[in-house]
Amino acid sequence: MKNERTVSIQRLHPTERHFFDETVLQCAWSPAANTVAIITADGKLHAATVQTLKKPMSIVAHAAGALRVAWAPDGKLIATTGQDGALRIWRPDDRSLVMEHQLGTQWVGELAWLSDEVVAAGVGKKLFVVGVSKPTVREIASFENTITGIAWRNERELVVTTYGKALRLDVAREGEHVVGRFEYPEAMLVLNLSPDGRYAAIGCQDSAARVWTVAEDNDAVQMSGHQEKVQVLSWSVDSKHLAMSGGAELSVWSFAGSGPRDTKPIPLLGHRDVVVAANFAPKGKRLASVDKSGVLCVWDITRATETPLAAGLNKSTIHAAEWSADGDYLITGDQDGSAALWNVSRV
Amino acid sequence: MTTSTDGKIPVTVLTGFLGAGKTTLLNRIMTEQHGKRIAIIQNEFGEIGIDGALVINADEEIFEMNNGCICCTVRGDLIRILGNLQKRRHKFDYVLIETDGLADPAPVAQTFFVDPDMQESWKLDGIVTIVDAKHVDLHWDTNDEVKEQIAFADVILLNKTDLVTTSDVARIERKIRSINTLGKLHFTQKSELPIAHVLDIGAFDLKRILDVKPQFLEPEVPFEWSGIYELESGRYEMKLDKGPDPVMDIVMMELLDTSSECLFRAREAAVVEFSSVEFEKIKDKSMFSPDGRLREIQTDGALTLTLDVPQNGRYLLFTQHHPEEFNLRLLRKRQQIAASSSTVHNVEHEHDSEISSVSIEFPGDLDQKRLNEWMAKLLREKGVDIFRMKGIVSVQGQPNRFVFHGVHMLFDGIPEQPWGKRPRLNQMVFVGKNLDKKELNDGLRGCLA
Repeated sequence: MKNERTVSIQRLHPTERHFFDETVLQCAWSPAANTVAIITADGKLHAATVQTLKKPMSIVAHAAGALRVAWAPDGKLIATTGQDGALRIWRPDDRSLVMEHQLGTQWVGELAWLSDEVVAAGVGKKLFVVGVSKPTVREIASFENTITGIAWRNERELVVTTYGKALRLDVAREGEHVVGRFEYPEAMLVLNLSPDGRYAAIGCQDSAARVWTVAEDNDAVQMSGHQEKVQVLSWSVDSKHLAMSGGAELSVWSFAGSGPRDTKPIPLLGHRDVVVAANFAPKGKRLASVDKSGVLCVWDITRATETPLAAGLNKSTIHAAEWSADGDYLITGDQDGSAALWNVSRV
Repeated sequence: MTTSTDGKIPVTVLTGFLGAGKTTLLNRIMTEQHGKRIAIIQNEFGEIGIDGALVINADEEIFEMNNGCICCTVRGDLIRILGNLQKRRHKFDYVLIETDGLADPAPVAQTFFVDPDMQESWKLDGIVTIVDAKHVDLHWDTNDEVKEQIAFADVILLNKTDLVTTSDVARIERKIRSINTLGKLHFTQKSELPIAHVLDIGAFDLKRILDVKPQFLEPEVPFEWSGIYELESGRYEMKLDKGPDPVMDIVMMELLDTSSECLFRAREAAVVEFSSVEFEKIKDKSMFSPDGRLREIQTDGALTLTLDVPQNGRYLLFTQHHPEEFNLRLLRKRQQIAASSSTVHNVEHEHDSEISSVSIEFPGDLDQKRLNEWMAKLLREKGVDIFRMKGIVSVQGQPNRFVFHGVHMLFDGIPEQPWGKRPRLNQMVFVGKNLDKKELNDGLRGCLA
């Protein structure tokens, strides 16, 4: 067994930093190239590469405030949603607005691309599937409660969480859409579907996460032990590990073999403040996590240690920490409106 | 600007039945120069939309609530929206939540106490309920929400008083007071009142609990009748015949205007005066003036008094018994002067509602252990029925007053200012459903050291 005191933690410093006018709300890397899309509290969408972070291309995407940003799988289009009830699709190459749909008057809080052609958006209790090249809008269902998460399982099926209920919907079929259902009396705050589409991890208000085996519509496994509500969940790319956090504790559960039932998670000790984001790298078993105090940690969960590989400090609360497609960079966005680029290729 | 020493952004919850005047108040708040930048969270079924452009011009932001029914699921929703707003907190310094007309304020209030993120960033400032004087009777018995919203309120606006008679206002006021003695009541027309009466009131601030004085119910009003007289300066005769009682107390005072607010204040002053131990006994041929002082009239025989009115104006006369019982008349140059309006008090006791308030007050020190046990048991067993609770108690051996408040099962208390030379008292007010006055009284008294 390795003595933890001898484990050295690599110190991280941002390689580049750019200050925007307003708080950074979300960052998203292009899946195809190292281009990042950033939304800020003033409703602007910014796009930049690793080389051009300081000179981003910026447009006002939603004057009333932006909420979500996501790249199409081919990396050519960006979808944004806002507090104006609109979904907009942009082509960053020429800053053009490809299409827009007014989905209602409420916040469009959830967004998920299925393909380069189809995107789903959650607006209050309503779910829409929108076609891009042949602009079509289909309202899939009206739910009893507000939608808190959406994720595509495959071309037919969407998993949707609402407060107190998670549903598997067949969106290709007309008429009755619900093909699977998991109910729990607590508020479901966040949804994270495993990359293989088998499990839906759901973070709940009652300081626990529940993992619903969507594929078999099985009862959920409950994971508790955290101090605060679970708002952070991330699956490793092979769907074998789930990172979760509620409060300052971060832990990783193994879904290898017969699953996490009756097992204990790996505790990751490095944060003293509430963890606000944690994301597995697009390949391998590295995990990046950030907390309210601005601490950034990078972990390797295959190591038999609870300490991070590397750590850095940002001056203000980080709201987003995302891996580039090649896993070489992390981008963080913070309360003070700065986006920082961290080179983690050697971590 | 709102300055908050703890860095938390104050939140006011606005409730009221559909059409009561919530949106009017919101628009009023947004257009008034108060220096606050307000974010509004509005239910999607809000009465009428607030003009978004106007709001942007006013440098304020509107956020619509995602959820239709606040009572069942909105807690998470509210957390979600405020969580998002928290990232933009430099853009505003106050949040108003307008609830659905049928909403139960309890889950909204509780959100600010149970969720750690909410506790860290936000503070509930108060619950403001608007009551539509014109239509409240229609909903009183059919919609429990109307009564619950009143029961939860820290501030109650009895709105649209211009659309009903003065005696209707008094009657609705009695209804409101039969439910909630804690809330501060304002009489309004078109939701008009100083913004300071609804924002930054600190109703959930333990340090300000001492400011709250329960308003007692109408049945405790010590007069049966009041009437307004329009009088010119000069001398008048007040004639009374022998009545069923040997004496009758009266108070007469000048009234600046006939607004509900002014009438309310006058009546409060009369209540205080009627309980005064200093009063003037007057009998036949005595002279008095409308100076607001208490007088005891010897009514064992017919008598004529002289009323000396110093200046033209409106005067309000309060009589212990109904004037008809004594054939009370006011005359000038032998011409009888009728009251321009009158109110009969204490005729109907509005205790039809299962929601009510219980006020307890007695001196002495309480035993800490017994108090804790009683309170824990009370909240465990009756917490569901206790909507709001506030109190100050004197704990044996403690130099400071202990102040507390609660919403359902949630309880928060701190030692406050020292008692000093003030008499050590225990004061508690409960607002809730099916409250047993005797049981609560006995329970608290059972904690006496």
